Amino acid sequence: MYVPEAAFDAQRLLQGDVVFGIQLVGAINLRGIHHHTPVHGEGRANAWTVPQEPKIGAAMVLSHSCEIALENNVKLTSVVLAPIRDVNQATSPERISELVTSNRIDKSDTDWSYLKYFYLELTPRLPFSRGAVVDFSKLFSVRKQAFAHVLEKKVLQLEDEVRTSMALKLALYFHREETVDVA
Amino acid sequence: MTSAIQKVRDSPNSTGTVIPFPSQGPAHDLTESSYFVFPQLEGLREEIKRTIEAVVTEAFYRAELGRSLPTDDPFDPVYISLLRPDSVSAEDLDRLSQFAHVVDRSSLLSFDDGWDD
Repeated sequence: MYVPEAAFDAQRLLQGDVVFGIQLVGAINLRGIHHHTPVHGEGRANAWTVPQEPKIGAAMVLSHSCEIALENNVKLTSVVLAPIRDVNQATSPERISELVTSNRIDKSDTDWSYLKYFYLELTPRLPFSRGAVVDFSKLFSVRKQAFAHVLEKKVLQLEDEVRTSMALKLALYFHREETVDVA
Repeated sequence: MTSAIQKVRDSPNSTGTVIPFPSQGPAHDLTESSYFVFPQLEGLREEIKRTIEAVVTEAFYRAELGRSLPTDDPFDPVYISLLRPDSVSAEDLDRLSQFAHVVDRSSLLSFDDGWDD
């Protein structure tokens, strides 16, 4: 699933790269945001805070590789990321094996999948003892000023074919026929 | 001992009882537990702490963010004018169509990690 260390490119950020140790800001409670004004309670807000403990963890880069290539500066306005979640926290552990089986839609023979999640195999580079999932539904973006910070946190790089499978799944998560979920 | 402290030490309260003033010495340090214990407020300690932190944070933002910061607007017209269209291959579209019938079972799986409400 992951490129070997010899092929790991620490100088480039690619779609599918896994970063570890960054703040995850997806799925914010809009109604819980505090707006700050220069004069208390008056005028236009110039800052905002979220009154919750920061989530620091792992995320996957979802931006297309050409969009985040530094030589393509015009396109680089932000980096899209999605948080990675520990499968040990799954409320239905029996579903994890189904998720793994159907993970790469283009390689599996099932006509169903868990489109919201892309499974990541166990690796010593991440602190998840049974693997993890990328959750597309919690994606967020960071401004390009954070590019170097994100790149610095890169710990894993997907093999090209796996990256293609992930991108296909991401696209299908947003675009698919309306069907009734199988219970 | 100063005369002021002596006066306080010797001053009676309304009942005429002398209230001993804490003595000077190695144990005489201004710790919260020595001088500022208000049992009736102990239950509000955390709330008071949060309120103070919120006030300090707001003051910080007023001071720091009141200055104008350089902005980099991804929606700036300059970016828009320099953009070029992306190519979309028929092969990519066919691939999406090939798998568009896949049934999504995502709703059958959730996690107990604070992300799902």
